[in-house]
Amino acid sequence: MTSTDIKTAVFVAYKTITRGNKSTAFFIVFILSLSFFNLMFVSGFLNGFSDGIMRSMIDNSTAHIIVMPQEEPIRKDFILDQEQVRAQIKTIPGVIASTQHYQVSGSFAFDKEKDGTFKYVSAPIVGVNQTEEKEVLTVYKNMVAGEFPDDLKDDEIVLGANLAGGFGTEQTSDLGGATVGEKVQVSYSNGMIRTYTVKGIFKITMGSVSNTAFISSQEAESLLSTYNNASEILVRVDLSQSTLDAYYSRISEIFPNLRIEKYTSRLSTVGILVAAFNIIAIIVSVISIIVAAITIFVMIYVNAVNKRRQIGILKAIGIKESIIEVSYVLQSFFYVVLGTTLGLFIVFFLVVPLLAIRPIPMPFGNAVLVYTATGIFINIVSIVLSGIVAGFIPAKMVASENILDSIWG
Amino acid sequence: MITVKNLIKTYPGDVPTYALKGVSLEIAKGEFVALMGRSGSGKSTLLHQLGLLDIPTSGSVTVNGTDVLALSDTERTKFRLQHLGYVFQEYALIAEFTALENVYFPAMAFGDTSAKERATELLRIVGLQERLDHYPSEMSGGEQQRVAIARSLINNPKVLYADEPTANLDTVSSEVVFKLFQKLNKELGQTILVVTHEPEDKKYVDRVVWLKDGLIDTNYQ
Ligand SMILES: Nc1ncnc2c1ncn2[C@@H]1O[C@H](COP(=O)(O)OP(=O)(O)OP(=O)(O)O)[C@@H](O)[C@H]1O
Ligand SMILES: [Mg+2]
Repeated sequence: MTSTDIKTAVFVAYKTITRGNKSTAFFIVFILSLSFFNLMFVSGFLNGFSDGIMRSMIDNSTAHIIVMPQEEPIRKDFILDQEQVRAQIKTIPGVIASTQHYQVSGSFAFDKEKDGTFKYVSAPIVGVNQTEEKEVLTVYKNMVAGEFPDDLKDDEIVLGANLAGGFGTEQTSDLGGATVGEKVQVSYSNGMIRTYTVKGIFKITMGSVSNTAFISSQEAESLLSTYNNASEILVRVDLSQSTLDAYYSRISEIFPNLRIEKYTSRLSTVGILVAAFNIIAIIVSVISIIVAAITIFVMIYVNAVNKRRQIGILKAIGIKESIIEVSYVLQSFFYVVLGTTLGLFIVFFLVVPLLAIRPIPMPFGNAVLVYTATGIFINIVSIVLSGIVAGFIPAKMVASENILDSIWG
Repeated sequence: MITVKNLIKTYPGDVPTYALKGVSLEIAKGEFVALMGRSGSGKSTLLHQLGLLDIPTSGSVTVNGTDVLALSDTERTKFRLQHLGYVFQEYALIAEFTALENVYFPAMAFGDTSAKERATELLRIVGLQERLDHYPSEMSGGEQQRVAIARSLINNPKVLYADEPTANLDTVSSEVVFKLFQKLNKELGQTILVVTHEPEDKKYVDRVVWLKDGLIDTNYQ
């Protein structure tokens, strides 16, 4: 390919596009944009799905990093001097906030009908300082009744909907419909029995947090006869500043004796779900790319076949096959770039705003299209590459035909 | 200029067609030759072989000293671009190019930077100086054929082949085309081989070669 050859190919491509049928060109671009949109939408939607699940887990259950008591050489029940530990974590750049949890377990008793028949349910109870908790977890944003007050009193409790019952079908593991203002009785393993007034009920679909109850951390400290310790510390970080792994190693370095986990290791069943969705997303994307490639191939092939006579004349004049091929690759490149641009436009200026106005509700919140720069890049590259290949093959097929056949055949 | 020896072209098939059965022919530099014969006698087939648009079954073709059948595919394409002009019965213009673009395109593909001026000049010679920016669909058959002739001349071909260039034209346009060939031949010394079935056209040419059933018919000469 000399520069003259390239100029010649560009000239043929340019004239063929500009003099070609405008509605055919528009049709090709439109079909290409739809295939690209299909690819983008499916991958974005599935990404949004697993992203939503993960976000729900991070926001309501685990935050990003979980710090737990020492296990080696001797196992401890608490993280000691949690204030000091959290102050140190706070110094790491990018750490947004942390919160301290006391974990206890209690047996709930509730007499729904006030007729002396109690329903008993065991459930995990978490002692929190809601003012700090709010900076890390957003359980308080998911209230279905009452509220999650910042200054939760010692005799007040916030229940998960699955524990309270009355939201959805009744389960043996719920209290049969405890409502805000009613009193529930909890007996703890150390023999203490307390009565709490229900202040609020929250419902979170993802994970098991809706099976738990929240009490204040002073109340937990008095139950556990301890002070300024924690069963776990949850840390929220800014992932745009640094990677999860980097925060993890930084915290592990500072506290070599504490057990540190990333939220990813806490995903369990949700993690399996997310992994399955990621696999589905990959399969569907690959199929979308293949479908898009075939669509491009058919469009460009039909286009090239329509231009058989032109290609035959070009060859009869003495134009090299390679010039003709490059010219047709340029044409399909042009159509693919336009189609991709239009597809991107449809995604980001039509569908994304439309989903913002008319959200589709999902168990973890509203469906959103989620894209990573890499993901978009891969989609664009694969569609453009298939466009080039799909443009080359038919041009090659037509250009290698007998000249006389292509002019008159 | 052109030496053809024992050229055979057989179209394979259930019933093979022996289109050329051993044609030998010599055309001198600057000659204007008409190729005549009944329909199906093999005129187009012969011209396709000479114009390197097809590959003969056997025989040899030498153009300006080059054994063209020995050339590779790419070399043959280049040879066509550089040394041969070909005018088809149907005008075979590129529909997406203007008259001017159609004419200078083969030179452009060759890297000739003065192609545009030469093309304009050629279109003036064929009497189409007013039609430079017209697209083929905007021109009459005769005009298109003259554009095709101008195009075939842009790279100063050693030989100009024309296969019934006037078959689709009226008498007046046909005359224009043949007078043009005559002028090119007389003034520029252009070697021309033209297929025609009009006995009328004999008056323009130096010599007539007759084909009959795939062979040169010497009875007419
Ligand atoms: N591609 C082809 N495949 C098979 N047979 C062919 C092909 N092209 C031409 N022929 C046959 O070869 C013979 C010569 O055809 P050719 O086109 O050379 O005739 P011609 O002299 O140009 O006729 P006309 O004056 O009608 O154009 C004919 O019998 C024709 O049917
Ligand atoms: Mg013929």
